[in-house]
Amino acid sequence: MSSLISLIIMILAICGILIFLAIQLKTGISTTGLKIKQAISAPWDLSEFLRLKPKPWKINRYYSFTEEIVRSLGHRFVGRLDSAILHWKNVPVLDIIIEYKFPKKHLPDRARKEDVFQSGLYALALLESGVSCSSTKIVIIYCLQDNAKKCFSKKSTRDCWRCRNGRTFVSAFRPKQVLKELTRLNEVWYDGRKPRPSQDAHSCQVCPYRKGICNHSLV
Amino acid sequence: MRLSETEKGIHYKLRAVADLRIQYQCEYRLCLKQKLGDKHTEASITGTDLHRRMALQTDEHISQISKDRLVPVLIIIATLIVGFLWIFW
Repeated sequence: MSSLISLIIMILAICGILIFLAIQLKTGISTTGLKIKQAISAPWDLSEFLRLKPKPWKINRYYSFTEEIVRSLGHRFVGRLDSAILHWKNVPVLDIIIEYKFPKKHLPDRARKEDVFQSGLYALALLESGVSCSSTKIVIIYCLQDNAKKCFSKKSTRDCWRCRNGRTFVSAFRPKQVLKELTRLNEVWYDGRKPRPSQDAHSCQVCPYRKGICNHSLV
Repeated sequence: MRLSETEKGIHYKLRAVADLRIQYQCEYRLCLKQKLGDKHTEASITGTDLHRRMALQTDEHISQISKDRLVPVLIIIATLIVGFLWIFW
């Protein structure tokens, strides 16, 4: 009987250690969801954080930044990200870029390319500022406008990223891919290439110029 | 979220990420926007408003989440007690 109790206690101890390791973000085995859950609101703005010389107890603590303006002077763009989670190691590390999208009628089955590209631009701007993006994840959260309004009125957006009414997609940040797309777009801005209309009907569905203005509309 | 010209500040000459996103979606749409001006739909206005409200609520919730940081400490204590019992039972 005592050996059975001993076995149960041993299992409990091992489970405790495993749970602890999973919760501790610095072990590297924690999930994107855990990082979002455990991040604390940063007491500085992003530019202050990037200039910071952190105290030892602040290293490996995950900070969340919302509505921060990021700019890339190299690629000549500026934008405001919805949310980003960073921590300090030897350099500032970008863990997650979160982008919220509120479609009116339909939730997509996978992350839309333009949304991933948009988030990739924010990460690219941070990469240019000296932030490490080697393990950055891009999280796109889609929620229908009506559902979002209900949640806002109930103030229940805490676990928005795992809400069953919305859809969350996680992908890795691929700087080479973003740069490739940006180079293609730059041809129109700087090399005088004529803009091409999209061949994707979905792009036309969400375009405000489709009715009576655009001659190339597919819908 | 879309940046206004005022918010761009001294970087007003830089391209907006929102414009690059539109261009990525359809190069011709951005061309029309630059020629005819921005055209807002009901959905886009609601979307911008929801982003603002989201930002406000995220800040509130993240402050609450930070209180949960005691959980790892509690797990360590519980594991130590269980480990102690296991060894000396």
